[in-house]
Amino acid sequence: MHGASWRPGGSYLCLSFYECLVWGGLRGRSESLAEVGFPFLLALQSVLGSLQLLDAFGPVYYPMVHRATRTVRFDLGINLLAPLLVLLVLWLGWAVWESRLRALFLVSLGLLVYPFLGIEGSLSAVSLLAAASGLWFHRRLEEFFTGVFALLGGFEALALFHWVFFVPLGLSSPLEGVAWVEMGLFYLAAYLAPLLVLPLLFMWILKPLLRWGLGKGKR
Amino acid sequence: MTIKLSKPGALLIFSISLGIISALYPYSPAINPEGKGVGVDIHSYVDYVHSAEIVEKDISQAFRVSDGSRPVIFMLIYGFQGVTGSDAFTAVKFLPIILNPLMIAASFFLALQAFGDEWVAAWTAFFTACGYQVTVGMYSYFLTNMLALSLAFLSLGFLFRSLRRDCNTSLSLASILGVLLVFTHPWMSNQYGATTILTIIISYNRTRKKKGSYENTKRTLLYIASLGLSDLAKTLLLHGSGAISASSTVISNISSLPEFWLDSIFSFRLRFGGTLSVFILVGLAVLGVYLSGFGEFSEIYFTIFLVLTSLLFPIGDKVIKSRLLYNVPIGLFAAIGMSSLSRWKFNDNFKKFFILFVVLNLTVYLFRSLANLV
Repeated sequence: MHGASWRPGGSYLCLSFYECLVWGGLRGRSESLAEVGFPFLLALQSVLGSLQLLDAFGPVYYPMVHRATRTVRFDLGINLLAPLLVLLVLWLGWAVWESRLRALFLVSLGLLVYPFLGIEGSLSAVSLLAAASGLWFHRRLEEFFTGVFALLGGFEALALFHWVFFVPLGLSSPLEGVAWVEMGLFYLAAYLAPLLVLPLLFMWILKPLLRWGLGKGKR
Repeated sequence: MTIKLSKPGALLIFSISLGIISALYPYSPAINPEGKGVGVDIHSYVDYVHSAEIVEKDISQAFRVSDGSRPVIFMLIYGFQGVTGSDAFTAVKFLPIILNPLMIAASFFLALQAFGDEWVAAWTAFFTACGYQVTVGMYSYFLTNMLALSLAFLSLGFLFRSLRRDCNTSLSLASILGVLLVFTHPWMSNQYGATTILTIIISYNRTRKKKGSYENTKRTLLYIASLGLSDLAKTLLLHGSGAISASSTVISNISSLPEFWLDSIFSFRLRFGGTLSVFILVGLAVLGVYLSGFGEFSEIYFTIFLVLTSLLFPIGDKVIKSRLLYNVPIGLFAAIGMSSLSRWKFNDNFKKFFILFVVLNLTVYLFRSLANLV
């Protein structure tokens, strides 16, 4: 017998034992790769999309540089459009394969941002919506956050290498841009610190209130 | 003979090493080619040392400098000069080589005695090493405050140990270290002493209701009495700045409530170069405080500490706000949060990458802050 037919949706007809083994193995491997890789793809979209969105907004922060407080506008220094587009194409492949029309519609809403933030902003918004809808349908939150922290950890490791190797030795650092972006993210997150200190100090009021509220909710 | 190092032990050693490196890093030739002093108060300390004529080996001058509020730090500087044979500026410049690791080790000891958990203690050491107590301490050169934190942590650690083990030796050590605290930083001894008094009252009420033994209450009363008597001796006999005069400086820095938000933003965003705003550390501390109980004496103590701090925080000006926060054992609360998170049922890869991210983020914060002190 010769020739194998491939039906949409993934089922197939094996014509020989050897062909079954090969195609079955490849299909199995590609499916498990997709299972493992998809949350990581969403994590990459989220991280890169967030960075590009911040770049599009250009928020101001106040870092201490050489003991002086400066006013700096957030700037990535590079354009992430190409990697975001590649990730979006991969995501579209998933959406088409799984026939997720609602996800496609939701993601297209990100294009509404274009008149206000331009191509960078709208692509970032589309990427973040794609990641959110992918998570909604896929529901692999732990793997997603593992990917997020792995990416951020790698980013921090590069910044650390700048500060502990290049800076004390007075060498010209190829990682200075990474360190600068990392500093920007720190000082942007620092806006939340005065808010976080309040629950830290007033937890003795908040905790009984939360327990009372949650207890009421359960009843 | 092989020595096995546990993972918490390795984290402790790493944290202490970071403390020592933190004292030297801002003086690396590429960062600070002129070897300038990095802290705001460094020259004040050098001036105090010169004015006290400690160089002429008159150690009693330590009780006259700075209104006699902090003799212990000047004796430490004097001792450091004696051991290293250095001048006043060099001694003050490199004193953090002792103070940073001391504070980190003391925080480890406190957490171990308070919770009996090696991982909580090791994380406390790490979060102290990479937290704002080192960075703000180096920025402002809060040498006295850092020494006071070390003494407070050690003193409390021995107190908790004596209560758990009925050990008089630990109680004696707690009292001696508490007395040293009074002679180091009266503001901090007020903050920690007031907390101890309120904790005794609550502990006594609980014991009365349960009809239990008052042994712990008696020990803690002895402890607070030793602090009170030493403060009286400092004020009356040595004419030093004690608890009452320290409290008056706090009251004179009361701000109005409408200025709360502006003062907060200034304290976090601008004061100390924004190094107080460690989002991840404070976030973990919030989780730690939420998960803390109110059963053990140590848990009651730390809750009361936050209650008292929270009562003064809204009305203190930007200086008081930042100093109150500086004295909070933030590393301990963050360690409770971190230890709890690592015990929750997440998959191993998630935990590993989360922990790695937190460790790297805070280590970058430490080195970046230190590199920008000059």
